[in-house]
Amino acid sequence: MQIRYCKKCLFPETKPDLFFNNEGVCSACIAADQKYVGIDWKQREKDFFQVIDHFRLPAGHRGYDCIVPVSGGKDSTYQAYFMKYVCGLNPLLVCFETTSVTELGQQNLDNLSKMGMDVIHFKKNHEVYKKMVIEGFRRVGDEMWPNHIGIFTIPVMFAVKFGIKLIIWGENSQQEYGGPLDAIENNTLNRRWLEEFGGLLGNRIQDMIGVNGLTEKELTPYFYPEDEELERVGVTGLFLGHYFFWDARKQLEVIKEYGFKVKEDGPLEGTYTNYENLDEKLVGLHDYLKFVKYGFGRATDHACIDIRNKRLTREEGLKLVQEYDGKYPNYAVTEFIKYAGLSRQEIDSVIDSYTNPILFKQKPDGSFARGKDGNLVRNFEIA
Amino acid sequence: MLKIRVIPILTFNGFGLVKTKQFSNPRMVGNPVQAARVYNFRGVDELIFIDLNATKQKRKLNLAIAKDIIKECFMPVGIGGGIDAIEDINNLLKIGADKVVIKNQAFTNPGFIKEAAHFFGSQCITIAVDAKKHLQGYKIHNELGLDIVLEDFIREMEDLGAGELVINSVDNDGMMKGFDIELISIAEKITTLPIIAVGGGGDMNHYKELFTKTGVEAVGSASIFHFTQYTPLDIKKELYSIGKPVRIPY
Amino acid sequence: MSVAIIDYGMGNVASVQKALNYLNIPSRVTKDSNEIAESKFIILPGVGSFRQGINNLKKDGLFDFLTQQVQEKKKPFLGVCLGMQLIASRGTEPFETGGLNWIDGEVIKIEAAGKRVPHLGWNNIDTRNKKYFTNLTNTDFYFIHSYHFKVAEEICISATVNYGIDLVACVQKENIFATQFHPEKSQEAGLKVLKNFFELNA
Repeated sequence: MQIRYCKKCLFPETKPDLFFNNEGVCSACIAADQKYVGIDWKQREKDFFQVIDHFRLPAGHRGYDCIVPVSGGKDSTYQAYFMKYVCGLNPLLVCFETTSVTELGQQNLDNLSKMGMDVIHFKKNHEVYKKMVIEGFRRVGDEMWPNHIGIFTIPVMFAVKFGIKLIIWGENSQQEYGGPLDAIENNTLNRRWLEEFGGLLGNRIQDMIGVNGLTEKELTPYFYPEDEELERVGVTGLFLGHYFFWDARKQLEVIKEYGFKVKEDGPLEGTYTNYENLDEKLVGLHDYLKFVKYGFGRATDHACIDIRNKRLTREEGLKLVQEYDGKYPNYAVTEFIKYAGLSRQEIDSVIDSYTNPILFKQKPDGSFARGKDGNLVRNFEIA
Repeated sequence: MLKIRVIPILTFNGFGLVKTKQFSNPRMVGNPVQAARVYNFRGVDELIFIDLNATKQKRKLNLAIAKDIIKECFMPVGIGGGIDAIEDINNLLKIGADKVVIKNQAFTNPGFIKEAAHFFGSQCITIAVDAKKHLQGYKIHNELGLDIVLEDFIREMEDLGAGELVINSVDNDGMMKGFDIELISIAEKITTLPIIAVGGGGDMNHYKELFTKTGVEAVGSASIFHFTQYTPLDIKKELYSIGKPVRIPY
Repeated sequence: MSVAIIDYGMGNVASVQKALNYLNIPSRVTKDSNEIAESKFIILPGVGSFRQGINNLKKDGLFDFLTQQVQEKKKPFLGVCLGMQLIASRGTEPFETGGLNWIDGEVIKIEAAGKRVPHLGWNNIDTRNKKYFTNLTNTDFYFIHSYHFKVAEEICISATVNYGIDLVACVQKENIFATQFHPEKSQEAGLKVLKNFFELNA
């Protein structure tokens, strides 16, 4: 079968929320071009500082000017740095811990308070969360499902509770990874954005009530606050990436100065970079599930960003994708067995149930064919 | 008492789920199996799955995918896309489909509808009625350049033995701004077949309006379930609050 | 304990088997008389027209054989949708045709003032004989039919459904139980009825 790829980067047409123009260029590349030529960054910067001044507490007032949701990853560390050291605000950092934090992720998380900010580290109910991890894996093929929701709802919950009006999010994923035009140009994160673009895969938090006895009450931190509460406090969530040219690699250099560490012993599972998704042991499984569903993995994401930021040519990116995408994630699966207590056999059968039979070769008995290396056999060429 | 059916509609492009706006700009929204699992867990009243491109690409609906979806469902499933032979219907019923949804054959080969209804029973044959508003009234949207008047088409389908109509508004599709009440009202007056009203549901008021202003007993939606926090159960609770009969599973 | 799901070219065998698999009840889809004879239960599923159904049963040599298994051997029998209608004395879809005649009555077109046909969707039933309807938390079942079984032997009606008029939703007579609705498509409630049927006849 034939899959259409973007002429400029390596995104395939199977990618959710991606559009192609008549020249065969994807919406992510079009948005990236805008970043270089179409957007008046000076004006946006001015806009941003105006907005910030509006939210800055008056001199002599105690309190926090804004919330920055943090994970211990590079993007949120940069956001925190930016609000404190560039904008001169007093941010409250709110951390929703990942599913299975790595040692490096923990170090980077601990580093945040050393950077000179208060951090609320939300220790979630492990049992409740784990039930959702397992259900998310089975029901929508994403063991990170509760994480996607928690990272968005918990900072908003704290904003409401503490009466903090401004939340600073990072990049707008719709801009970096392609999406509908109006979503790319959007500068605010609200409930609709979360439900539509937060990676919830059509599954809603109320759908988790009853799973293994989960009650609505137990799921409290995962419900987005009601509209009335948000209006009462006047909570606004802004994407920093809407106002400033987002370049992860350059930002990385800045935060390294402030103690952020990257993986020194080679790339992460499933890709060629050593600075993305450092904090989560299971990320390889999440990315692999995306690969079996849509035929592209995390290496494609990274290569495409590097192509758009002109660090790689399309040909160089193609080689990296061919080398790194689609490898069975041994490390993450082993970690997931430990975390979830499922058998390898059950995990594999769930993965198989999400494997697209149009994209990958099946044997006559309906099971999926595997190459000598144990990986799935593509029905399509990456080109 | 018969309950109002709230039916998620999954549209497929050949390898994944898509959602259109006004029948164009298909947006990839995800993997069909994950959607089927979510809806099965929710205990929805029914599910409709349509391969939008089968006829266009002159191919059959992919049975492996259809099977993957039906496998997840303990509720009725209607399937459509590229159906043009008795054998196609047979294959779909065999893997557990309850109804088939037919569009192109209904205007290129109406005799097929009669034959299919005769063979499988009317209840099995659902017709996709995609209507677009013109100055002179509603016409059936098609890619063959045929000029088909809505009213004539509906009457013909009923005469041929169709068992149900999915009435979709091309103008309102994917816009999430409300249903085409005028279209649905015209349709319900000229047929005694059950109608599934489709196209435009975006918030709770749209559903209340549909079931207050028309007498239809089923609604189909996609965008609201893909893109907002609302689930079919939320819609039913809302309808229940205005005295409409709904089924609350478990 | 094994169940023969009769495969006579009339539809929904896969769904019925899926429901039984879910309930851990062993079954096979078959039209082989030896296999049917060996089975402890018989399920006759089906969608389609009455006449086509009867013709197919006859073509496969099942018409008399099933009657012998159910009427003489008294094997527990479950009919679903068309499988319920076929046990009537006669049908009218698309024109008059003799049925299996295990329960007296005829299958006729639904005519109810102001109601759309087919009767399609979830509707709640009123049970008269509660044998197979214990422990239900919900009485909504999925119906999809244009014809209904007008049962002459009133005593055999075990549940009705209101659609402007009362229609027969279930019949029950000795070893025979049949539903106009689709238990295999009716989620929790449907699975419960199936479970009850097999447990009480085990």
